[in-house]
Order: sequence, then C-alpha cells, then structure tokens
Amino acid sequence: MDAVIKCDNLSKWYGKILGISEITLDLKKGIYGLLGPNGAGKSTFLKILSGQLKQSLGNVTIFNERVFNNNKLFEKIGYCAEYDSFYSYTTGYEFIEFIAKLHGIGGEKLGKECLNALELTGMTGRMNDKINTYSLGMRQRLKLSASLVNNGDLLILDEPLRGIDPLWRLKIINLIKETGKNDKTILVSSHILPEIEAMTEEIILIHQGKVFANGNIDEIRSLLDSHPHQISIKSNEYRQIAKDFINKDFILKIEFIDNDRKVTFETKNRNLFFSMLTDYIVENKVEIEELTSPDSNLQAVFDYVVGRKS
Amino acid sequence: MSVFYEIGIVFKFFFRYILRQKKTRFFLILSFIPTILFLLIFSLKTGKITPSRYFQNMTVWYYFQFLIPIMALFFGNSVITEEVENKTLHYLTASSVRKSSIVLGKYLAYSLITLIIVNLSIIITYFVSLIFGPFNASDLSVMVKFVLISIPSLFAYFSLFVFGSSVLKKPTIVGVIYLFGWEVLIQFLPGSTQKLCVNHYVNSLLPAHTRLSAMSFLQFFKPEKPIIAFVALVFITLIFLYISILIFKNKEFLLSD
Repeated sequence: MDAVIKCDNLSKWYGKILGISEITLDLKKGIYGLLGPNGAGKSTFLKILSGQLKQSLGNVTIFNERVFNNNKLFEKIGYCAEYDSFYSYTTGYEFIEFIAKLHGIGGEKLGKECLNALELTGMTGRMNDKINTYSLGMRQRLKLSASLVNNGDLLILDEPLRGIDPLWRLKIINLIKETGKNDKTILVSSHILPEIEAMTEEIILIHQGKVFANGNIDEIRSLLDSHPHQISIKSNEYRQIAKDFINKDFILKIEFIDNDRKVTFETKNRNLFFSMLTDYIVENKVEIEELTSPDSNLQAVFDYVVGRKS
Repeated sequence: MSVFYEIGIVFKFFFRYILRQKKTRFFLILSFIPTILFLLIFSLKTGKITPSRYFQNMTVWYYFQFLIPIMALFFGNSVITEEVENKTLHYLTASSVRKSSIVLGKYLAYSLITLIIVNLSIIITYFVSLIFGPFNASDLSVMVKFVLISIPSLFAYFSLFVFGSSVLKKPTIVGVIYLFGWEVLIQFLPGSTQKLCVNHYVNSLLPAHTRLSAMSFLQFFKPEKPIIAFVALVFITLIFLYISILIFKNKEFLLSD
C-alpha cells in the first residue's frame, strides 16, 4: 500500500527558531495520533501538511503530490486548524456551505453534504444562528464539521477536542474512529495521551520538533508508565499515611509540607500506588482532604522519556 | 472548477459578509456627511455658495480626496490582512480554490461595495441639490462623470492597498502615511514627482472647472490628458493586483501571535 503522507527529512525554521527538525515518516491509511507537549512542533508539522507553511528543508508529499500551492490536492483533504477563528457574522450553515463550495461541492450534493457534516457534530439545531453566539465547544464542533464536509480521504485535525464538553468529547472520539474505518487516513494531534489512546493505537511522539517515537501505543505506553509520578495527599493523618507506605518498594521518595498537612510521594508505579491507597483509606477510615498529582502533565513525562532515550 | 466559478464563490460569500460588518455601516454613515451638511446649510440658508457649486466642490474634495482613498485603504487591507489577523486564512488556502481566485473574489466584493456606497451617496447628494436649486443639464453631466471617474479611481487605490496588505504586517499605518503624507506633500512640489501617486491621475480625470474650484491650492498641478490618466489608473490597477496575487501565492502567512 502506498504511503498517503510521505515526509523526508522535513525541517522548518522560523528565522533562527526551530519548528520541526528532520521528520521522516511514511503514513499509510488509518488513524494516527500526533502526541506531544505544547510547543513540541505538532502544529508546525500539521501546517506544512495542510499547505499553510512551506518546509525549510526536506520533502513532503500527500497522495504522491506536492503540498504547498497545490489547490487541487485539497479536494481530498479536510483540515481542522488549532485556531478558534471564524467568519463570525455568518450563521453556522452559511459557514459550512461556504467551506463546502470552496472544496468544489455544488448542485444537489451541496445541501445534503452540509447537513450531513453538521449532523455528525450535532450542530443542526443551532445551524441558523450566528457563529458569534456559539460557545467554545460549539465552535470547535463547527470547525470539525468544516473539515468533514468534503468527505476527504485525508483528515488533518489539530487539537480537535479542545474546549469540547465530556459528552461530545466521547462522541467525537467515536466519530473519528468510525471515519477512520472508511478507508481514510486521519492524523489527530493532542497533548493529552488518553484522548489519543481512545482513538488509535498508532502514535507519533513529537518533542522539541523531532519525532522520537513512532509506532504502537503499547511500546510507547510502557515508556510513559515507567515515569516516576508525584502524588500529594492532604490529611490530618499525613504522617501516619507516610509511615504506612514508606516500606513499599514502589515508593521512591517522600516529602512533607508540615504547615499544609501534606505528604508528597514519588512512585514508579502509579496504578499500584492508587490501588493500595484506596484499600488503605477504606480499611483505616482515613479522611483525605485533597489528592493531587502535580507532575501528571505531559511535559514532565516527555522530559523524562526524552532524557531516558538520549 | 473554472477560475470564474471560483471567483464567484468567494465574491458572493464576501459580498454578503461585508454588508454585515460594522465598518461597512460606519462608512455608509460617513458617506452621507456631505448630504447631511447640504441639508443643514441650505435649510438654514447660511451659505453664500450655490447648490450646484456645493455639490461639485464637495464631491471633488470629500469623495475623491478623502472617502474613496480611505475606504480603499481599510477595505483593500481587508482582502489579505484581515484574514491573517482574524486567523481565518486557512479556510481559504486549505481549499481547492486557486489563491488567485481568492484575491480576485475578495477584491471585487470589497470594490463593488465601496463603489455602491460612494456612488449612492454622490447621486443622493446630487438630487438633494435639486431641492435647493434649479435643474441644470450640465450639473447632471458632471454627476455622471463623477460616477464614471470613481470606478477607475477606486480600483487603482484598491489594488495599491491590496498590494500593501500582501507585503506588510501593518499596512494601515503605511497606507495612512501614504494618503495623508505623501499624496498631500507632493501637491506642493514642482516637477514630475506628482506623477508618483494615484491621486495625480484621479485629479487629471476630474472636470477642470470642478477641480480648480474645489482645490485652488494645486499650484504646481499639471494635469495629464484624460486618456493618459485613465490608462495610468488601469495600469496601476492591473500591475499591483498581479503582484499581490503572485505574493499571495508564494508567501507563507504566519497566523500565530
């Protein structure tokens, strides 16, 4: 099977600032999650794929065609950009209709395709209202409709779940999974691992402009799971909790903040820690005021994984 | 899709869109200031000027020296800069429509709206002048000439400012400096420097008696023959529009803050 997206040593600089560096990828049909912390280069990569930017070095083709300044190619591509930006004086329907026309859809198909795209994201109910009256989640769903309206063979989705409420988040994840089954290629970016995990098993990890892992989620998951996690517990019995956990082999470090009645554990096995903590709370009837995980953000995990790999 | 069909798609959408924008309403109100002043002055009978003279002076001075250039500046800039600032450019460029069709479609939509606003106001002001003075066939002919001259004038200014928006990050500031700095300054300079501005060719097309009456300060102004002035405006329109399209096709526009 031919690669849908083919990148060869793709690099991009903004003046002296590096956007992406030497990305070489061959993506065939299927769903791919582009995962990385903020500023990793995900959007730069997607902007090159969507013809918004020109690469500084290297080569990129989609369906064996060059990308920049190739308007014909975009009949087959749907692009959902990261920006929350619209022609806000229009209604949702007028906006989708315009995007459909820009993709060469006309005649009898026009109305049908527009309604279908709006229905997929649950926007038909408000489609005749002005966009400037929509909530952030609705605008995001409308943007997604715009990327679906041409029924393209390639979908490029930059943080499509940002600002969407949990119910629609789940529906959109299912929609992306279903769309991916129809012989299409979907590239979805996010900085939230569980979001990507819910859509696909094929992951591209991007950090500081470079792809440093590309493949099945299991391998990448094991890399991420071995990251030491910090968990803080606020309780009147914080010292007793620390005493009862100190001898567990998965605990790496314990720190106290006495004036805040807090103990912070560093563990190499977060799942086991949480499982044992739950049992401990039930058995000992311990009252917990606050439970936080200060380093659960992806940046910390990435820094750890990059450090381990280099 | 053919180029004309693509231009039509972009034109139709933006024509409707511009009509809903607040700045269009603002310019519509601004365009009727001469009409309102006309009604005030002649209702109160405070002016020593005849209605016919007032109409001609006001059209030359207000519409040709101020409103057409200023609307071309703000609307011309909108063709590209507004898309970049509002981060909506990707909807147009990540589509199967040619980039040249995007520029031309938007250019035509904004130009046509400006032409409608300006000429509607000129025509209404002319009819208001008839309320206060006798009908004169030569005045009607002057009004028709004004309407016709507004077309190449506006297209030339528009092309110039679309070009500005394709190369500059803040084209409005440069445009204001050009209109109220350069174009004004060179009116007071002798020699052929005056030929380096759009205004020179617009003024050359205006009927001589209306120009002399409204702009007596043009001491060094040597008008071009009308046909040369017209060709110059067409040339300015085409060349700047062509360069703008070339730039738009090949330039990357960074939408990030």
